[in-house]
Amino acid sequence: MNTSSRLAKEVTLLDLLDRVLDKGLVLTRDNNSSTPEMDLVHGSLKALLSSVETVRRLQVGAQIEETQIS
Amino acid sequence: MIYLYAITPRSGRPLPDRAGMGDQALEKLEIGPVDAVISRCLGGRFPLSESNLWIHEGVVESLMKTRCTLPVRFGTYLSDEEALVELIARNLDTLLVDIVRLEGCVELGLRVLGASPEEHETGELSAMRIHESILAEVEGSLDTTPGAQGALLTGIYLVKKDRLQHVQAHIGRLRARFEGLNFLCTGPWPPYHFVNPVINLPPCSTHNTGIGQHVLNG
Repeated sequence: MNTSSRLAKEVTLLDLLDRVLDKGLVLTRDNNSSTPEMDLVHGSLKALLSSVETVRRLQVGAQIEETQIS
Repeated sequence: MIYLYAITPRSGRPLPDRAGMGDQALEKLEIGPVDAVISRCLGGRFPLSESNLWIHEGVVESLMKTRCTLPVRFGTYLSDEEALVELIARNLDTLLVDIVRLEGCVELGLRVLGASPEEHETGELSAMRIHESILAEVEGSLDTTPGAQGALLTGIYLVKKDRLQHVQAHIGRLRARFEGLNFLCTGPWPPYHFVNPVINLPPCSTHNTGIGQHVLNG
């Protein structure tokens, strides 16, 4: 997998995490409440962000193909 | 215990022909003017994994193809059907407003990255022009720029399905015009960013074990 497609895949996963875990209708009594799942996800999210940032630094100048979710 | 994927307007259409979390069947619970799409959790909660995230997303996307779909956050469990009925009854007005507002809409994500740190200032100006240009073509947006995760632009756009190709083509033209920048476009996604996010639990419910026994009044 070349750098561009790897970056596109990681960004797609990042966007998935952002939406599925951090947005959408949520059941809660307390807007500030946190579940164990969310704590775990936040850790994974930080790792992904670091990964994406690293790839971004490496891929300067690469043209990224649009990623279509289907 | 049941797992909730999405709320949709009441529909006579069959559910997507696919399995849900834990390979469980999808079910539709008709609750007043809406449907709740669920799976049964026979062996407890489903583990948090990338594959399960994609299953959740796949179910919601499949629904989105045939009906207005309000996506529910991953990991939403209720103790039983009565709890779900109670929950929806308490929030029905909000849900119906969202159903009308988001009918026929999807969202697109766009990140614009600079080609080099030296050109960051120029890139920010370009990103602003890109964002404004896209705004003219979409129903709404959330702009988290500049600088989110190092991007010049991190835009989230609400787009009518019947204008999706037009908007994607517009972004393609912008990419050609601003050839020094890198565009990363994802979607179409269900409108996760545009639903009214909070559905409140009944006062006597518990947070981590799902909702207790509640019966819809009246």
